Amino acid sequence: MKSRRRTVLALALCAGLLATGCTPGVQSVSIASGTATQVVSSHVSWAPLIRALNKSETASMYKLQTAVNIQNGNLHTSFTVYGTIQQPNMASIQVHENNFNIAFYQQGQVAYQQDGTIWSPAQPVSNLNAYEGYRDIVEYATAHHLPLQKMNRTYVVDEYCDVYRVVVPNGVVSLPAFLGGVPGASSAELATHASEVAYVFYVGETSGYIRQIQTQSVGVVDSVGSLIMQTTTIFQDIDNAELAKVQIPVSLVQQLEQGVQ
Amino acid sequence: MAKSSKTVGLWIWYIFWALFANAVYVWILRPLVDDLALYGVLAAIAVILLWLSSLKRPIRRRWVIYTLFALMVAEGYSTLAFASKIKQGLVAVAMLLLLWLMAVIVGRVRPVASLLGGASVVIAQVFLPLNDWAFLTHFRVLQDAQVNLRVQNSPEAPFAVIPVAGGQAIITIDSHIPTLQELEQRAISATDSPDALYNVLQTAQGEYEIVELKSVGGHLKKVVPTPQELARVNPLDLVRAFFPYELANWYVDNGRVYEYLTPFLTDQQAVEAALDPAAYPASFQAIANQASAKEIANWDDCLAELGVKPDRAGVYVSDDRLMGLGAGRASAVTMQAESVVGEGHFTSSRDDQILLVGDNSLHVYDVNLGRIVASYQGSADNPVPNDIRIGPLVAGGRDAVFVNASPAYILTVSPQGTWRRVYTAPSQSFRFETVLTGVRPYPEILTNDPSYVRNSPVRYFSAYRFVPNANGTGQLVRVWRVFRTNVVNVTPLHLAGVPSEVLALDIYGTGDYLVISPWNVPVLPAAGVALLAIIVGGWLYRPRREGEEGSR
Repeated sequence: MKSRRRTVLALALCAGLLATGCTPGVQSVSIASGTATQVVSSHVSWAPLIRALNKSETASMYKLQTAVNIQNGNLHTSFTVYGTIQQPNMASIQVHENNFNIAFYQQGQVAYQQDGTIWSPAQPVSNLNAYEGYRDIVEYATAHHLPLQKMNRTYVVDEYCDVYRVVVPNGVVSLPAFLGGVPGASSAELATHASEVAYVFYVGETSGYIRQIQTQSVGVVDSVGSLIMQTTTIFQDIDNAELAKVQIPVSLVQQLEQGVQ
Repeated sequence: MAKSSKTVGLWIWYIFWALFANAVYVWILRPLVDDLALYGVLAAIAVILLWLSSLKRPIRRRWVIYTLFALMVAEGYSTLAFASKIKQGLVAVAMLLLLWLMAVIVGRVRPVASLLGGASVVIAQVFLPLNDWAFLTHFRVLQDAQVNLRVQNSPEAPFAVIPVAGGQAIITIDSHIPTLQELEQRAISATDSPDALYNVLQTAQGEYEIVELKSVGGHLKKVVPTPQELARVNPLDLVRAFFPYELANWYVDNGRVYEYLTPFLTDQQAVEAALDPAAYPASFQAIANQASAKEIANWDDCLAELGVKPDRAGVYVSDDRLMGLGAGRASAVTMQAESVVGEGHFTSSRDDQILLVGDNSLHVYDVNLGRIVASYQGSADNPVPNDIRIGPLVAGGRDAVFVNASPAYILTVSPQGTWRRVYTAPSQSFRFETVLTGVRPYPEILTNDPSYVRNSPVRYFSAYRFVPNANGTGQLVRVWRVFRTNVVNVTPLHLAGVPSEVLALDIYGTGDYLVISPWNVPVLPAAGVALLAIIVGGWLYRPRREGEEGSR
């Protein structure tokens, strides 16, 4: 009698677990990058951030990981980049534009892009310093005496960072060359048709490099309305010759060996 | 005669139980876990134990196995939703027969009756898939249909709502694969630009046709839209899933409009943009401006080819000007706003007012007064997106503004034009979908929001009532919850031939769309009472002898 009751109980437990879909699941793991949430001081000195920028600009190699997320109605679209950069003129990166994938490889005057599986010759990119654009923001902000805020200390990738935040008008950073002079891209148009941009800089406490930059802004587009735009840029393995050295993609080597340009 | 009527009764009982067990699973057991996590698992176990206790030993094995069989058949068939019709049919038959054989051998269930029960859950799902049964607790499902999408670039059917005679219709996209002859014809005539042949062939297998979902006797039917109907569409409502990275290219062929996608940036440009992260906010703003201008020019070209001019429905904003206010008023008013959210009564319950979203801001434009009467400015931290709903908070009240930022919040405007945030969502993934009026004495605020107990971001389609506090802010109190996830684009529609307002919605990631209408049939309480009655009936029931199961 007792064993029968036990069987019923076990059966009920199993049925309960099965019927409710209560089976072991995999929890997705987020990348080890934090986000600062609170402003702890509304006015701090620019010196530590400028020092970190100076140091970062001279970094000779690093891995770069970025994401641009745009919220349009209930949908989110994204542009993500993953790559390795070695100054002054070597890079190997992958770009994902929604569901289009592009790879790009450059060494000096040699450059190739990959669409699907085929590599084809490309124009080399003249400036590969991904840190350089941030100088425009710091220069604009210091020239206009914009306040630099300090946020809570945050762990990014592999070290604790001091976090600084500044809000500047959209359009103070010089745009990539192909966007120069096109309609809707002048700094005056950007400033009037987009919100200000909050830049949050994460400065590594041990390394002294800028490790992460996040931005938050609202773009305004004709017939579409306001688009919330968030970007994240993470720098890793800075000046680590073992991990951040640019290598020729294997598929490019194979294709060129077969004599297909 | 008496025996055959008893057999038929038994068959009906088996069929009922197969459907009812699945309904209990979708309406009671699964929601318990979805909403209450571990507590829900315990509650579900308790319900199952109660049910098991009502099964007397001689019939226990048979009914446990039969119930599992009915649940497995239903669940199995529901996972075939994405397969082709032929595959669906073949796998369904094979699965049904195999599971039935196992049930007959292991559970010694009645062969004919249980086969009928298994078939009935499959047939029921041809009309309404198992996962969509969840809607039945609060809605009548008028239609459950599908457009064909490639979910990697369009995870949901876009809904561009346009006015038509007698009501409204939806313009959306449907996958179109050209026939071999069509393709040959198009390939050989692709001569007008250096990359014309490449464009035709590269996108041939990934094209969409612009279609209209039009009410025919209260049912949405896929038809070819007329040029006049296409002229009323804001083309940017059709491209949100991939804007601005991919460009929709529209072209007219034989009076129909087709669409193919190309990357907006060349590879070189994408790489240049990618390598300048400091400029992202400005770069993508500029890219979006250009993509929008290009889409509109392309759409207008197609309209010209069809012999019509753009005739955008209702009021809209173009080049910072408010257009379409109608005869008798200035046709355009200059203002800093980029799109119209909708019409309502925000500062006054009499005047017609238009809510506009602009440079991270909201504006209320009073049509009677002819000027902006209230403005709300967002900030970089507290942005105002273009994902906004309008509706009253209390019956007969002025309209509030429901902003889907993260977290989402509700704004009201006083008659003096001061804004107030009266509610902030407790969870980052909380979303407002629409506000239903006229069903209950109070407006029902429809949302998609996650469980408060679980730490999972999975959202369910729910309804809340706004309860004001003494200080002017308020709380949302849950009215009901439909345990269906991935419900998006919830759009109120007036359909020709249907007296009351209905809701059209998409199921994310599938191309499925449903048209539902609220009803007040107490489905859930009735199911609970029926389950209880069956359990109590089981306790009272005495099998006459071993192996005989009578009515149970």
